[in-house]
Amino acid sequence: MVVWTDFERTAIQDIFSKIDYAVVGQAAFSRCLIVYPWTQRYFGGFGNLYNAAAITSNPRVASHGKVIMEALEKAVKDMNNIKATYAELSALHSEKLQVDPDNFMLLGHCLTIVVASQLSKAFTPEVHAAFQKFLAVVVSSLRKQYY
Amino acid sequence: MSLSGKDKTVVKNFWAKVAPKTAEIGGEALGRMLTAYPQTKTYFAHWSDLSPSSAQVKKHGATIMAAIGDAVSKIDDLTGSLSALSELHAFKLRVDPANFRILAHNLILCMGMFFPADFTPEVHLSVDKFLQNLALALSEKYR
Repeated sequence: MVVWTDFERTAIQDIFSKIDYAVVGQAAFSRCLIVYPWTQRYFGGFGNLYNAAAITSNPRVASHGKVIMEALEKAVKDMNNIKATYAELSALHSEKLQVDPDNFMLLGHCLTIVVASQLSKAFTPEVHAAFQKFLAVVVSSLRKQYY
Repeated sequence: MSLSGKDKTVVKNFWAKVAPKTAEIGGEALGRMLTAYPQTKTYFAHWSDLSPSSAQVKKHGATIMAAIGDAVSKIDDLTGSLSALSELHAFKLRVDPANFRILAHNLILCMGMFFPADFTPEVHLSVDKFLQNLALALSEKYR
Protein backbone atom coordinates (compact mmCIF):
# COMPACT_ATOMS: atom_id res chain seq x y z
CA MET A 1 0.00 0.00 0.00
CA VAL A 2 1.24 3.47 -0.80
CA VAL A 3 2.11 5.57 2.19
CA TRP A 4 1.69 9.33 1.76
CA THR A 5 3.28 11.79 4.14
CA ASP A 6 1.22 14.80 5.21
CA PHE A 7 3.48 16.98 3.11
CA GLU A 8 2.88 14.85 0.01
CA ARG A 9 -0.88 14.84 0.45
CA THR A 10 -1.03 18.57 0.94
CA ALA A 11 1.35 19.22 -1.96
CA ILE A 12 -0.72 17.15 -4.41
CA GLN A 13 -4.04 18.58 -3.29
CA ASP A 14 -2.58 22.06 -3.42
CA ILE A 15 -1.37 21.64 -7.00
CA PHE A 16 -4.76 20.46 -8.20
CA SER A 17 -6.55 23.28 -6.41
CA LYS A 18 -4.31 25.86 -8.10
CA ILE A 19 -4.41 24.69 -11.71
CA ASP A 20 -7.08 25.30 -14.33
CA TYR A 21 -7.96 21.83 -15.67
CA ALA A 22 -8.94 23.10 -19.11
CA VAL A 23 -5.73 25.11 -19.55
CA VAL A 24 -3.29 22.60 -18.07
CA GLY A 25 -5.05 19.62 -19.64
CA GLN A 26 -4.93 21.14 -23.11
CA ALA A 27 -1.33 22.27 -22.71
CA ALA A 28 -0.05 18.93 -21.39
CA PHE A 29 -1.96 16.71 -23.80
CA SER A 30 -1.14 18.79 -26.89
CA ARG A 31 2.51 18.95 -25.83
CA CYS A 32 2.55 15.15 -25.55
CA LEU A 33 1.11 14.73 -29.06
CA ILE A 34 3.66 17.21 -30.45
CA VAL A 35 6.80 16.12 -28.61
CA TYR A 36 6.07 12.39 -28.83
CA PRO A 37 4.22 12.16 -32.14
CA TRP A 38 3.83 8.38 -32.01
CA THR A 39 1.23 8.94 -29.27
CA GLN A 40 -1.05 10.30 -32.00
CA ARG A 41 -1.72 6.71 -33.01
CA TYR A 42 -4.45 6.49 -30.39
CA PHE A 43 -6.32 9.57 -31.58
CA GLY A 44 -7.10 8.84 -35.22
CA GLY A 45 -10.62 10.17 -34.80
CA PHE A 46 -9.51 13.55 -33.47
CA GLY A 47 -9.31 15.29 -36.83
CA ASN A 48 -6.37 17.45 -37.83
CA LEU A 49 -3.19 16.55 -35.91
CA TYR A 50 -0.97 17.33 -38.87
CA ASN A 51 1.37 19.81 -37.23
CA ALA A 52 1.96 21.60 -33.94
CA ALA A 53 -0.32 24.50 -34.85
CA ALA A 54 -3.16 22.14 -35.77
CA ILE A 55 -2.73 20.15 -32.56
CA THR A 56 -2.61 23.27 -30.41
CA SER A 57 -5.83 24.63 -31.88
CA ASN A 58 -7.66 21.30 -32.09
CA PRO A 59 -10.85 21.47 -29.98
CA ARG A 60 -11.01 17.71 -29.43
CA VAL A 61 -7.48 17.75 -28.06
CA ALA A 62 -8.46 20.56 -25.71
CA SER A 63 -11.58 18.82 -24.42
CA HIS A 64 -9.78 15.52 -24.01
CA GLY A 65 -7.03 17.25 -22.04
CA LYS A 66 -9.69 18.40 -19.59
CA VAL A 67 -11.14 14.86 -19.40
CA ILE A 68 -7.70 13.56 -18.42
CA MET A 69 -7.32 16.16 -15.66
CA GLU A 70 -10.76 15.35 -14.29
CA ALA A 71 -9.81 11.66 -14.23
CA LEU A 72 -6.62 12.52 -12.32
CA GLU A 73 -8.70 14.46 -9.83
CA LYS A 74 -10.41 11.20 -8.87
CA ALA A 75 -7.08 9.94 -7.59
CA VAL A 76 -6.41 13.18 -5.73
CA LYS A 77 -9.77 12.91 -3.99
CA ASP A 78 -9.04 9.39 -2.73
CA MET A 79 -5.28 9.03 -2.46
CA ASN A 80 -5.45 5.91 -0.32
CA ASN A 81 -7.30 3.95 -3.01
CA ILE A 82 -5.76 4.94 -6.32
CA LYS A 83 -5.41 1.35 -7.49
CA ALA A 84 -9.13 0.67 -6.95
CA THR A 85 -10.10 4.04 -8.43
CA TYR A 86 -8.39 3.22 -11.72
CA ALA A 87 -9.29 -0.47 -12.02
CA GLU A 88 -11.93 0.25 -14.65
CA LEU A 89 -9.84 2.81 -16.53
CA SER A 90 -6.94 0.38 -16.55
CA ALA A 91 -9.07 -2.32 -18.16
CA LEU A 92 -10.37 0.26 -20.65
CA HIS A 93 -6.87 1.36 -21.68
CA SER A 94 -5.73 -2.23 -21.96
CA GLU A 95 -8.62 -4.01 -23.60
CA LYS A 96 -10.50 -1.37 -25.54
CA LEU A 97 -8.05 1.44 -26.26
CA GLN A 98 -5.00 -0.85 -26.39
CA VAL A 99 -2.58 1.83 -25.30
CA ASP A 100 1.06 0.83 -24.77
CA PRO A 101 1.48 1.61 -21.05
CA ASP A 102 4.93 3.14 -21.66
CA ASN A 103 3.01 6.08 -23.08
CA PHE A 104 1.47 6.91 -19.70
CA MET A 105 4.71 8.37 -18.35
CA LEU A 106 5.24 10.39 -21.53
CA LEU A 107 2.00 12.22 -20.78
CA GLY A 108 3.09 12.36 -17.14
CA HIS A 109 6.32 14.11 -18.16
CA CYS A 110 4.46 16.70 -20.22
CA LEU A 111 2.01 17.31 -17.39
CA THR A 112 4.87 17.83 -14.92
CA ILE A 113 6.54 20.30 -17.27
CA VAL A 114 3.32 22.30 -17.77
CA VAL A 115 2.54 22.34 -14.03
CA ALA A 116 6.12 23.46 -13.31
CA SER A 117 5.85 26.29 -15.84
CA GLN A 118 2.54 27.40 -14.34
CA LEU A 119 3.46 27.23 -10.66
CA SER A 120 7.06 28.36 -11.12
CA LYS A 121 8.87 28.81 -7.79
CA ALA A 122 5.96 27.25 -5.90
CA PHE A 123 6.84 23.99 -7.63
CA THR A 124 9.80 23.38 -5.33
CA PRO A 125 11.98 20.26 -5.65
CA GLU A 126 10.10 18.72 -2.71
CA VAL A 127 6.70 19.42 -4.27
CA HIS A 128 8.09 18.12 -7.57
CA ALA A 129 9.14 14.90 -5.85
CA ALA A 130 5.64 14.47 -4.37
CA PHE A 131 4.06 15.03 -7.77
CA GLN A 132 6.46 12.56 -9.36
CA LYS A 133 5.50 9.96 -6.75
CA PHE A 134 1.80 10.63 -7.36
CA LEU A 135 2.22 10.15 -11.12
CA ALA A 136 4.19 6.95 -10.57
CA VAL A 137 1.33 5.57 -8.46
CA VAL A 138 -1.24 6.62 -11.06
CA VAL A 139 0.75 5.01 -13.88
CA SER A 140 1.28 1.84 -11.88
CA SER A 141 -2.46 1.62 -11.19
CA LEU A 142 -3.26 2.12 -14.86
CA ARG A 143 -0.88 -0.71 -15.71
CA LYS A 144 -2.45 -3.09 -13.21
CA GLN A 145 -5.13 -4.61 -15.46
CA TYR A 146 -2.83 -5.26 -18.41
CA TYR A 147 -2.07 -8.90 -19.03
CA MET B 1 15.28 10.10 -34.25
CA SER B 2 18.24 11.98 -35.66
CA LEU B 3 18.50 15.76 -35.65
CA SER B 4 17.19 17.57 -38.71
CA GLY B 5 18.65 20.87 -39.85
CA LYS B 6 15.63 22.55 -38.30
CA ASP B 7 16.18 20.81 -34.95
CA LYS B 8 19.78 22.02 -34.87
CA THR B 9 18.76 25.60 -35.61
CA VAL B 10 16.02 25.54 -32.98
CA VAL B 11 18.39 24.14 -30.35
CA LYS B 12 21.13 26.67 -31.13
CA ASN B 13 18.71 29.58 -31.06
CA PHE B 14 17.14 28.46 -27.82
CA TRP B 15 20.56 27.88 -26.25
CA ALA B 16 21.59 31.41 -27.15
CA LYS B 17 18.50 32.67 -25.32
CA VAL B 18 19.07 30.63 -22.17
CA ALA B 19 22.84 31.21 -22.07
CA PRO B 20 22.76 33.61 -19.10
CA LYS B 21 20.84 31.09 -17.00
CA THR B 22 22.46 27.80 -17.97
CA ALA B 23 24.46 27.39 -14.75
CA GLU B 24 21.37 28.01 -12.65
CA ILE B 25 19.25 25.66 -14.77
CA GLY B 26 21.87 22.94 -14.44
CA GLY B 27 22.13 23.25 -10.67
CA GLU B 28 18.36 23.31 -10.26
CA ALA B 29 17.85 20.32 -12.57
CA LEU B 30 20.43 18.20 -10.79
CA GLY B 31 18.95 19.10 -7.39
CA ARG B 32 15.47 18.18 -8.59
CA MET B 33 16.68 14.91 -10.06
CA LEU B 34 18.27 13.88 -6.79
CA THR B 35 15.10 14.83 -4.88
CA ALA B 36 12.40 13.49 -7.22
CA TYR B 37 14.32 10.39 -8.38
CA PRO B 38 16.16 9.27 -5.25
CA GLN B 39 17.71 6.26 -6.98
CA THR B 40 20.04 8.69 -8.77
CA LYS B 41 21.62 9.64 -5.44
CA THR B 42 23.54 6.38 -5.57
CA TYR B 43 26.00 7.99 -7.97
CA PHE B 44 26.80 10.85 -5.61
CA ALA B 45 27.24 9.05 -2.31
CA HIS B 46 30.65 10.71 -1.97
CA TRP B 47 29.09 14.17 -1.58
CA SER B 48 28.18 15.45 1.86
CA ASP B 49 25.07 17.36 0.81
CA LEU B 50 22.64 16.14 -1.87
CA SER B 51 19.92 18.69 -1.27
CA PRO B 52 18.89 21.15 -4.00
CA SER B 53 20.59 24.00 -2.10
CA SER B 54 23.92 22.19 -1.85
CA ALA B 55 26.92 24.03 -3.26
CA GLN B 56 28.28 20.74 -4.60
CA VAL B 57 25.04 20.08 -6.46
CA LYS B 58 24.86 23.58 -7.92
CA LYS B 59 28.47 23.50 -9.03
CA HIS B 60 28.15 20.12 -10.68
CA GLY B 61 24.90 21.14 -12.37
CA ALA B 62 26.74 24.09 -13.87
CA THR B 63 29.54 21.80 -15.04
CA ILE B 64 27.04 19.52 -16.76
CA MET B 65 25.32 22.42 -18.51
CA ALA B 66 28.65 23.80 -19.69
CA ALA B 67 29.41 20.44 -21.27
CA ILE B 68 25.98 20.38 -22.89
CA GLY B 69 26.52 23.92 -24.18
CA ASP B 70 29.79 22.76 -25.71
CA ALA B 71 27.89 19.90 -27.35
CA VAL B 72 25.44 22.42 -28.83
CA SER B 73 28.33 24.18 -30.55
CA LYS B 74 29.49 20.83 -31.94
CA ILE B 75 26.01 19.60 -32.74
CA ASP B 76 27.07 18.21 -36.12
CA ASP B 77 29.32 15.62 -34.52
CA LEU B 78 28.05 14.69 -31.09
CA THR B 79 29.68 11.25 -31.06
CA GLY B 80 33.10 12.65 -31.88
CA SER B 81 32.98 15.61 -29.54
CA LEU B 82 31.67 13.54 -26.61
CA SER B 83 34.14 10.70 -27.03
CA ALA B 84 36.21 11.51 -23.94
CA LEU B 85 33.14 12.09 -21.77
CA SER B 86 31.68 8.84 -23.03
CA GLU B 87 34.77 6.97 -21.91
CA LEU B 88 34.56 8.66 -18.52
CA HIS B 89 30.91 7.69 -18.02
CA ALA B 90 31.44 4.19 -19.38
CA PHE B 91 34.58 3.08 -17.62
CA LYS B 92 35.03 5.29 -14.61
CA LEU B 93 31.60 6.57 -13.53
CA ARG B 94 29.63 3.63 -14.91
CA VAL B 95 26.35 5.48 -14.87
CA ASP B 96 23.45 3.38 -16.15
CA PRO B 97 22.42 5.17 -19.36
CA ALA B 98 18.75 5.03 -18.32
CA ASN B 99 19.62 7.86 -15.97
CA PHE B 100 20.55 10.17 -18.83
CA ARG B 101 16.88 10.24 -19.70
CA ILE B 102 15.92 11.15 -16.16
CA LEU B 103 18.37 14.05 -16.07
CA ALA B 104 17.21 15.17 -19.51
CA HIS B 105 13.63 15.31 -18.23
CA ASN B 106 14.68 17.49 -15.31
CA LEU B 107 16.73 19.78 -17.54
CA ILE B 108 13.74 20.20 -19.82
CA LEU B 109 11.49 20.89 -16.86
CA CYS B 110 13.81 23.63 -15.62
CA MET B 111 14.08 25.15 -19.09
CA GLY B 112 10.28 25.28 -19.17
CA MET B 113 10.20 26.88 -15.73
CA PHE B 114 12.81 29.52 -16.44
CA PHE B 115 11.66 30.35 -19.98
CA PRO B 116 7.94 29.50 -20.16
CA ALA B 117 7.23 31.71 -23.17
CA ASP B 118 10.21 30.51 -25.23
CA PHE B 119 9.97 26.82 -24.40
CA THR B 120 7.13 26.11 -26.82
CA PRO B 121 6.14 22.54 -27.75
CA GLU B 122 8.23 22.84 -30.94
CA VAL B 123 11.32 23.94 -29.03
CA HIS B 124 10.64 21.20 -26.46
CA LEU B 125 10.54 18.63 -29.28
CA SER B 126 13.91 19.66 -30.74
CA VAL B 127 15.59 19.94 -27.34
CA ASP B 128 14.20 16.53 -26.34
CA LYS B 129 15.63 15.02 -29.53
CA PHE B 130 18.95 16.76 -28.97
CA LEU B 131 19.29 15.48 -25.42
CA GLN B 132 18.37 12.00 -26.59
CA ASN B 133 21.10 12.13 -29.26
CA LEU B 134 23.49 13.50 -26.69
CA ALA B 135 22.69 10.59 -24.36
CA LEU B 136 23.31 8.19 -27.21
CA ALA B 137 26.69 9.78 -27.92
CA LEU B 138 27.49 9.61 -24.21
CA SER B 139 26.65 5.88 -24.14
CA GLU B 140 28.76 5.19 -27.24
CA LYS B 141 31.73 3.64 -25.43
CA TYR B 142 29.76 1.52 -22.95
CA ARG B 143 30.00 -1.76 -24.80
